This record gives sequence, C-alpha cells and structure tokens, in this order.
Amino acid sequence: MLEVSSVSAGYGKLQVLFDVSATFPSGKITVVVGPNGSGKSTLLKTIYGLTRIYKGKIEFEGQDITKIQPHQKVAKGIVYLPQTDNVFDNLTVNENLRIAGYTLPKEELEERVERALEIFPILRGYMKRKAKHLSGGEKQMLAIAMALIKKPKLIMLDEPTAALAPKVAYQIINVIERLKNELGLTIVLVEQNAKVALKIGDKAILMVGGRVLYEGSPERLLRDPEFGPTYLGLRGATER
Amino acid sequence: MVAPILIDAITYSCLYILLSLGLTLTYMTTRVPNFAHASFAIIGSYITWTWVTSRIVSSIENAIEQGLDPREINVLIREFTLQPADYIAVLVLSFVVVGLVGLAQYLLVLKPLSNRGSTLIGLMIATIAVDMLIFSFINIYADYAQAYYNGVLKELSEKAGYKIPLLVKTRDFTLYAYDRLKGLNVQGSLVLLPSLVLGLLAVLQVLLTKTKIGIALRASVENPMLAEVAGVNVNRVYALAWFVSAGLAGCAGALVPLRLFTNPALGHTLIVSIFAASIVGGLNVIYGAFLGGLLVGMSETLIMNFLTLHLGLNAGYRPMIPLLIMAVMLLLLPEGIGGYEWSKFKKRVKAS
Amino acid sequence: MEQVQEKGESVMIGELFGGGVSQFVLDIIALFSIYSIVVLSLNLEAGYTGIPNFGKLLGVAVGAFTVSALSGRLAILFHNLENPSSPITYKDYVQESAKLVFEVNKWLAENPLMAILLLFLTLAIAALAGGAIGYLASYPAIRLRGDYLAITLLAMAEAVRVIGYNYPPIAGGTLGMQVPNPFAAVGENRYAAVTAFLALMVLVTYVLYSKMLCSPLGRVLRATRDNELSAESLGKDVVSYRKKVIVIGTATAAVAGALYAYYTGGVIATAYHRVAWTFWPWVMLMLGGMANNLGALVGTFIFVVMRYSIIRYKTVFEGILPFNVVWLDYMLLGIALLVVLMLRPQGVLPEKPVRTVKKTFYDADRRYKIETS
Repeated sequence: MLEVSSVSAGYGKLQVLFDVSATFPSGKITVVVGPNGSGKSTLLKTIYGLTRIYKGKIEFEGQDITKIQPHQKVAKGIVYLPQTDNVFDNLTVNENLRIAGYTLPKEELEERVERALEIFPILRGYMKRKAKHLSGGEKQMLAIAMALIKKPKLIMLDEPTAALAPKVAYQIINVIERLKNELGLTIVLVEQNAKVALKIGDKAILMVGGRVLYEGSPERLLRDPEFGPTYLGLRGATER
Repeated sequence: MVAPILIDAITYSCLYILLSLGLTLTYMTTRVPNFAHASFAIIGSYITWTWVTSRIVSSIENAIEQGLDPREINVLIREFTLQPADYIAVLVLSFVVVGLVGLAQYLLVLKPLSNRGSTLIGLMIATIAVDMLIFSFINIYADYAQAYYNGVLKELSEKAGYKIPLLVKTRDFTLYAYDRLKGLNVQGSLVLLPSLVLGLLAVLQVLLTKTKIGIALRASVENPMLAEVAGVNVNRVYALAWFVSAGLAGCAGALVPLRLFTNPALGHTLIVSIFAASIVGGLNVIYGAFLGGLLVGMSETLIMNFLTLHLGLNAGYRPMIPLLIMAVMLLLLPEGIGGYEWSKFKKRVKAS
Repeated sequence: MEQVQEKGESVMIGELFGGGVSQFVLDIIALFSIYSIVVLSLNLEAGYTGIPNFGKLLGVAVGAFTVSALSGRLAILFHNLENPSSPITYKDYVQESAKLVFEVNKWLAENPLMAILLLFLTLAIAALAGGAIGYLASYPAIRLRGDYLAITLLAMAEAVRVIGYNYPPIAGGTLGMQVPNPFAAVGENRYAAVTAFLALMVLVTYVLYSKMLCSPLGRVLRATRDNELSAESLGKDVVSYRKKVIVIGTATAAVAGALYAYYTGGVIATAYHRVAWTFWPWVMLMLGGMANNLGALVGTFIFVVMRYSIIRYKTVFEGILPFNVVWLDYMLLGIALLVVLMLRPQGVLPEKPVRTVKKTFYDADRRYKIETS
C-alpha cells in the first residue's frame, strides 16, 4: 500500500502541493481527478521523486521512500508512466520492450516480453515498426507493456487517455482494469475524463489547488452535488 | 591508374566521414558540438609520427651496430616503408590513447560542468578550453620530439662517422613517402581509409540494432530519463560513446600524415569542414556523418580542383567551400539531409 | 599583442622599442583599450542577448582589413586631389605599399587635419563594413539554436580570415602590408598619442553602450536571453533583436580592429586568428561577469596585463618553463576558461539548481544538462 502523509512539494520555489495526505490501497485502482493545474500530475511525480519535497513522508509497503532516487523506486516495484515521452520513438516496438527489461537476464526478459504481448496482442504485429509510427492508443499500450516488463507492484499512470479518441480511450481503460484484475496490480490513475475514470475506480481522490478535497468512494463523488459540477464538469445529483 | 583528383576526393571524404561520425556521436549524447574534436585527430597524427620516426631511427641504430657502411644505411633510409604491423600499431595506439583523451574530456570536464547546471554556451566554451589545452600540448610535444630525435640522429651520426642524411621535422611534415604496401604498388592509407569507413558502416549497423549496448545508446540519446528508468546507466553509455568517438578521430588522425602535410594547427583548419559535414548529414543522425562527410569531401576537392584549374584560384580558398555548403544547408535544411523528415515530404508529394 | 604566426614564432610589439616602464604602461593601456572595445561588443551580444558569438574575430578582422585595404588608397586619393600636379601614383599597391605608405605618412605629417579626416573616415567605413558583413555572416543561422549559431559565426570568421590571407589587395596576403599613420603629425610621441586616442575611444564606447543598455532595449535583450519563449510570447521579435545586436556588435569590433591596425602600423592576416580575437575576449568577459560592462573591463584588464607581461618578459619565463613561452599563452587560455567555468557561476552558470530535480532537462530554460544520473 502506498501512503502519502502531509506532503508539501513543488518545483524549485514554486509550491504545488500543500499538505497532501492520501492512501492508495493495494490491488485497487485509485483515481485522482480534479481541474487543470490542481496538482494531480505533480502528485505522481512527487511520489516518483521528480519534484522537490519540502516536507512530508511517502511510504510504500511500510518503507519510507521519500528520499530515494527514481530508479531505485523502480527497483522497489513502483513504475511511473508520464503523459508523453513514455516510449522511445526511434526504436522499434521490439527494441522498446527489450530496453524496458535492460537489466534482466535474457531468459527472464523473453518470458516477460511474452507475457506483455499476451496482454497486448496487437503489438505482436508491430514488432519491427518504429514506435513513432504507432497510433496514440498503440503507443500507450506499448508504454504500459514496457511498464509491465518491470514486474511492478504499483503503476502510476498520468492521463493515459489524453489525446486519444473515445473508443481507443475506452480500450485503454479496459486494459487498466484488466491489470488490476488479472495481475493484481495497485494502480494510481490520474485522469481528466472524470466520468470514465471514476467508473473503474475503487477509490477516488479529488484534488483542487494542490489540496485534497475528497478521498473516498467514486460513486459518492460522482453524485456529489457540489464537487461534481464545480470541479469535474459533471451534473452532480442529476448524473445517471 | 586512378586520377589523382579522385584519390584526393576519396581521401578527404573518408577523413571527413570518420571525423564527422565522432562529432555527431558526441553531439547526440551531450548536445554540445565538441570544438576539440579535430584536435583529437591530430594527437593521432603525432602518434604515427612518433612511431614511424622511432622505427626509422632504431633501424638506423641497428644498421650501425651491424656495421653497415654509409651507403647501405642511406639505402635503408630511402627504402623504408611501413609494414602492415605498423599500420595496425598506429591505428590501435591512436584509438586507445585518443579515446582516453575523449573519455577524460567527458568525465573530467563536461559531465562535472553539466552536473553543476552549466548552460550550453558554458559547455561549448569548455570544449574550446580543452581544444586549447590539447593544442598547446601537441605543440610542446612537437618541439620536444623534433629536438629529441634530431639529437639522437646526431649521436648516431657521430657513432657511424658520417652525417646521416635524415632530418626529422614535426611541423609541415608528411609521411607520404613511407606509405607503400610492400609488394603491391598501392598506398596503405588509400586501402585503409575506405576500408575503415565501410567497415564502420557495417559494424555500426550491427552494433546499433543488434546489441544491447547499441540499443541502449539509441535509447539514451533519445530520452535519457526514460532510459535511466529502464535501467540503463546512461552515464556509462555516454562515456563509452565519447571513448569510441575520440578513438575514431584518433584513427583518422593517425592516417592523416600519410596523405597530407601535417601541423599541430591542422585540426583548427579541419574543424570547419567537419562541422559542415555533420550539419549536412544532420547533427542528430549517426548515419548522416557518412553522407555529409562524403558530400563535403567530394565537393571540396572537386570544386577546388575546378576552380584552381579553370579560374586560377588560389588553393588557399579551399576552406570557403565547406563553409558555403554549410551556410546553404542551414538556410534550406538546418536539420541536415539525414535529419529531414523524408516521410513527411513523401506524403506531401503524394498528396499533390 | 603578440602575433602568432603559423610556425609558432611570435613577433612582439613591445620588444620593438627598447622598453622601459613608461612604454610598458602605454602598451598596456593601448591593448587594454582595444580589447575592451571588443569585449564590450561581445558583452552586448553574449552577455546581454545570449548570442554565442564564437566569431567575434570577424568584426575585428573586417575592421583591420578595411584599414589595410582602404586607408592607404584613400590617403593617396586625397593627396592627389589636393596636389593634382604631383600625384602619388602606383601600379601595384600591394607590391609598393611600403614605399607608398612612407610617402603618405610624410604628407599626413604636414596635414594633420587630413589625417584626422582619414582616421575617422576609415573608422566609419570599418564600422559600416563590419555591421554589413556581420549581418550577412550571421544570416544563415540567426534563427537557429545557439549551437548552430556558434558554429556558423566561427566558420564565417574563419572565412574572412581566409579571404584576407589569400587575396593580396586586402591585407597584403602572406606578407602583410603597412598602414598609414594618422598620427604622423605628432612625430616622436606617436605611441603616447595613439594610446590617448584609444583610451578616449574606450570611454566613448563604454558610455554609448551603457546608455544603450539602460534603455528599454537593454531590458528586452535581457528578457530575450533568459527565456526566448516568453519574450516571444510578449510580442517581441527575438530574431530581429538578434540581428540588430549582431550588427552593432560587429560594427563595434570592426572599429576595434581598425584601431588595432593603426596602432600596430601594419596588418597581416595571420595575426587575426580566433584565439587572440574570439577566445581571449571570451575569457575576459567571463571572468569579469557577463551582462556587466564594468566587470567586462575588469576581466579585460586582468588578462591583458597578464598576457602582455608574459610576452614582455618572455626571457624570464623561458628560464622557468621547459617549453616555448608561446604555448603558455594557449595553455593559460584553456586553464583560464576552465577555471572560470568551474568557479565563477555568474552568467555562464545559472544559480544553484533545484535539488531533487537535478537530472531533468529544462528545454525552455536553456539549461543543458547531460542526461545521466
């Protein structure tokens, strides 16, 4: 389980997160929603170690991971998927997958690549194609596949469906659900598209202006007359 | 018999390809054009000079010990040619020594500065600083070596009882005369230069697509942070790239004295052409170096030849040619021929 | 300063006159003045506008070559206009330049007003030529990123040098040529007069530059340097500012080059090389502080004194060093650059970066980090 305790963080002198506390239960999908600039992405980056933490603590499976380097977090099973630049455009799909498992011994790598391809069979046909020639959705699938090769325990996805057509976005969301169901991964999902995201979420966190305003069940957030319309563009109690 | 102008063109093309390769590679890793790159090559030139000179001198020494008479010693000097082992020796030595210099530049100068947050200008200036240091050391060595070996020859002359007709010089020198592959009537460097280029082309292709480290390099230059997350030690990969790049420059430089008149300042003359070659090929595309080096080398040689022959233009104007090519390239296609998105171009042409 | 020719020998101006402290001081002031003008122009380009001008030599060379190409010829023209009955004639100016310049100097000595006219006219032409050629030379890369611009400017400066060296009418080709002496009227105290004039020129330049940079223009330039994207978003045409700055900077350097030509009394293309006129100015600027005109002058002074002392007292160093003093100059340049880069953060290195974000790539911020851990 991932636990963020009273974290204040930002970029240099620019503070973005203000005393943020939240827990992300194991094996569940926690969705982080909120308006633009609310600090959702920054929260992920902070957990991963890409920002400056002024105060607070982050714990994963009981261990304090606040100060350790990003690639050490990968070793501990935490993987972060940024919104863009999450695959190597000039490498082929095959090469991308292999780089993801750079530190693995050959057999293990083969095994994990095979597993990843089982989850994303569409990639099989593109093994020799350069990643920049894939569609947006296919690229995201490749990115997630690369993350899976690391055998993570926790995956943090930053707006994976941004800039994707609704049908493709839907596919990605389905895949994310499968990751939880079939692989038992803990998932932190940051999403602009609150409606869709909250449908698959087991837990929801609403962030506004760098603070957590709500932490709890997604359904209640969807139906909340105040939060829904104000921050999520939903119709609140009238939402069906 | 191949026309001399063509030989010249091949020579320069191969040299430019070898040098541009290294420049492009270091640029792709650190995003800094390395102004010291051409001087790397000249270090190799002086390694060759030292090797050849000491070989000649020691064979003279042996001859004297064996009691050969002056006439025979003179023949020895006149007929001295490089053996295959010599070529291999200077190439390997230059690769390793200059490779280490490049590695040092990366590890001791560029990486620490970058860690402190240096700007691009700062890093460029750092490469200029390294160039100045290398230049001064080459010159100091040239002064020393010339004095030393002429001194040794003087001693040998005294020992032999006559004045040995050999005066070595480290400036404005060429080892052209020694560059004959035994038996065959062809110059070793002329065989080696294209072989190196073609060999590299093949090796790079394999290295970059089939080996772990090659793919890691491509990943690192594209997205270092992502590569780091994937588990690649990007610093080590870059260090290796710098070692190899400098090593290649050293190899090119090792062969330079066999074809051209060499001076410590030769690097400063070449650097413009090498930048032109890299820009033409595309500073971000490793294969661009092959294309750029070929184009610039060919153009420079052939155009200069034409201008000298038909317009009586002084050969001193030669550096203008790569410069003009570079200027045109920057106006029309700054990302270089290799950097241009030809797929987009194809789509546009198809659409119309 | 010293003129390092291709074989590594140096011809030192200071040694041409027996010496003495007063000569030493005069030389320092003169060299300091000339270099200051160059460094101030570099400060405008690099310090204020963020243009990595590795082709500073271009302006200096253009200025010097303008003087060598035009000054004598113009002087003869004026002389002949004034004395149509006894014109100075020549068939090949370059071949006969020594003799011609001698004649011209005689005439200038008797016509100080014409000499002053000649001086200022050639300085003006030099500035114009510098501005124009600076514009043309930077044009291919003016819209491109810093590294492309740096390479282009360096290459263009080399081109000017190549032309100056290979086309004899400009600067006498491989042998160089002499240049008229506008201070001929002063006679014996020529160097004192020249030095005083140079000092005056520095003052003028400094004042002009200060005024220019305290204006709204200065603020725009600083905004441009620090963050091009936001400057552009405010509607300022970054490229057009760069162009203006290059023109002004190159014109200024051309004036410095012209002054140097008059100071030394002759021009030889090999004396105008990038080490003396691009790289040393960079160190002087960096030491003193970028975007700080006074600091630039301080840096210039320190290095001018240091280098000139080494050259002047070459024999002392020759005893100590196991190698030729000339190489010390290059070594010092390299060491000075590295030391300044490592130790002096202002301008070349930004403020201390954020701790945990150490390894990321700020593109818009123009901070380039070699991406590793």
